[in-house]
Amino acid sequence: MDRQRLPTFESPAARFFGARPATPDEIQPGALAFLGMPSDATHSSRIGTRFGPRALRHESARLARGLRACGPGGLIDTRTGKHLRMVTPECLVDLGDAPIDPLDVQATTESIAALTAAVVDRGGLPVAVGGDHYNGYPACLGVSRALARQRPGERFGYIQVDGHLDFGDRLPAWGMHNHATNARRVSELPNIERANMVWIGIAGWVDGKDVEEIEAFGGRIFSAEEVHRIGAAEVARQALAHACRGCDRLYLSLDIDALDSGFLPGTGSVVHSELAPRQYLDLLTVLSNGPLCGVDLVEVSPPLDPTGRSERIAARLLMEAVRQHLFECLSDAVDFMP
Amino acid sequence: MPLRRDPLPRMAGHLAFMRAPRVVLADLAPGMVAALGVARDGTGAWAGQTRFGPTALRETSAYFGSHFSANMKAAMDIDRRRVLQGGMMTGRLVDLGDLAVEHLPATQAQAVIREAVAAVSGRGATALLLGGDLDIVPAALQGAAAGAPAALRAGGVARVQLGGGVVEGEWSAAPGVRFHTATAGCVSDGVGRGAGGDELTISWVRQADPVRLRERLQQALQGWPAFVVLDLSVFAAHWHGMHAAAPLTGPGLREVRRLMEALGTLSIAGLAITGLDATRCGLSTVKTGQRLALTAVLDLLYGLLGPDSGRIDVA
Repeated sequence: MDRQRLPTFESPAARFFGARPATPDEIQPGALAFLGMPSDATHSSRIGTRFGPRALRHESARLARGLRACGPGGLIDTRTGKHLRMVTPECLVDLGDAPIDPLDVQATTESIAALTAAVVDRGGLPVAVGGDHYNGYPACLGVSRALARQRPGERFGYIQVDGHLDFGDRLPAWGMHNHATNARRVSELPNIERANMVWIGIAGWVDGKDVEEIEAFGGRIFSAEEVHRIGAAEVARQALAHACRGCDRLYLSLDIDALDSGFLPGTGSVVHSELAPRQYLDLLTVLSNGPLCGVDLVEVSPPLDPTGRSERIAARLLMEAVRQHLFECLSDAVDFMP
Repeated sequence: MPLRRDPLPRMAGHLAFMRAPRVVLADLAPGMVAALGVARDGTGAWAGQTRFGPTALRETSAYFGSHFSANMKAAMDIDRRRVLQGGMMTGRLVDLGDLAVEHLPATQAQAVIREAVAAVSGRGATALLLGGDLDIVPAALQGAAAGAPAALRAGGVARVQLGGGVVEGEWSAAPGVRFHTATAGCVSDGVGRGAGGDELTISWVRQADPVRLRERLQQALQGWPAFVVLDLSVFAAHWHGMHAAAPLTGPGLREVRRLMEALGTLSIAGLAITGLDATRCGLSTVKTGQRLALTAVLDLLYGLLGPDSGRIDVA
């Protein structure tokens, strides 16, 4: 039988953007390394985000398969007019899921942090996919520890796109480690530049004392209303400028609940920000140009959206967030209109 | 000895509107806002199962109760940089429970609603009806007109309706001005006393500064206290999916909040939330209808309960 005609088989378990499976030891410098954080034990109300990594692996792999089908000639990004080619799967690795212990927050924290630290130690960019937003803290913690080893004395900036500040100190019954305290925990890391912390997309009623505290230490908040008024791309430019003052590393934390629930209902803490996927994409197109040292994308809860559109939108957002690593640019502007 | 030192998580404890204390009519005093559920479906086939609205609205409102708990040090509207006074809700927002009207014939149910709202208004409190559908409104309006001191002074109440269709019959007996969403936006068509009423389009509401918006509303109300009806159908269907006849076009939360905020600075004789069919899936499984309605109502409610404590300037 002609071997060339044999059907090819794919792994029954989808991987992020079709990345190759790998262990932390196999990470090469420059690699984009995905990992799952399937934990929602630290969310205080509607859960289901523990199924987020699986759903995003499926959707992102499907997205990547479609993009690679464009062939060696590349593809046109109709949003930007750029002529792009997707990198080969060898440049992308999927480390699998971090071990989660729903009854032991500390153990979960350490296992996630160990993975992201291992990626940074080997010169890769960790992309951690949740899970509820608490998991963004251990993902950032690992990055912080690795950077402290590599570059003692250097500090990094932080941008969080979110409907909420997540700057509480504690919640009754959930204590200090939950989906409403992750940004405060990040702000306590020894090498974060607190004055370079930026929030984008905050909507509705928040704790005014948190706002006061953030602005007192020099942090910047762009409300959803400001995104509407100033424009997403300009907000992202200003945020990037603020977060990168005196820092050459930036951590990006993406909570998909910044989107209005009319567009993306599959998340635990919905907001009515009227922010649309297009605006979120516009934010990420700019933010993806930042000097990223770590990315997390959190709060996708597939059980809350049986239509599947929430994870589809989230996969597209994730692709935009790491577009500089997923695509090589063949030419800047292509007139693709007939 | 209390069982615990910390405040309860928001889904714990007894169900009450924004976790307000449960009271009886005799406890009401001037300046209070009294929530009362009217778990009743209308007779129209389109009305849906709005009798589950009061429970759904109370459940979701528990989330906003945190604005006045130890969890939240100072509730701030991030868009407007407006901070609430910490104690303004204490002892002023209360919950009376539900009226027993679910199984009554329509005329008897109307009488019960009318008497209850008149009793609340007669004590100087403001009734906040958790509907139910629009059929509960005429009786509530009549009750407010018969009991509210401001209404008695003015000779009636004006009806300000956001969303919902026309309810004929008793509607026309009540004086007032009506706003409802149309494809072009909010329209007041001068029903009852409001001959030659004003017209507000969505784009106008979006662009008007708060002072101008308030002036236009004052002009439309002609000095009458307003009974405000927020029907979920004021919002376009794609924001919630939980109204039986929500329009395909219409305003979002931003425009409705602007209207409610302006109304919160005027004389209010009563407030009703109607049209929520809590049995509908909404957007997938997420019940955004009650959250939308309540978020909008907060602007009016906070206006009623007390002025802002001030602004924190943007850094």
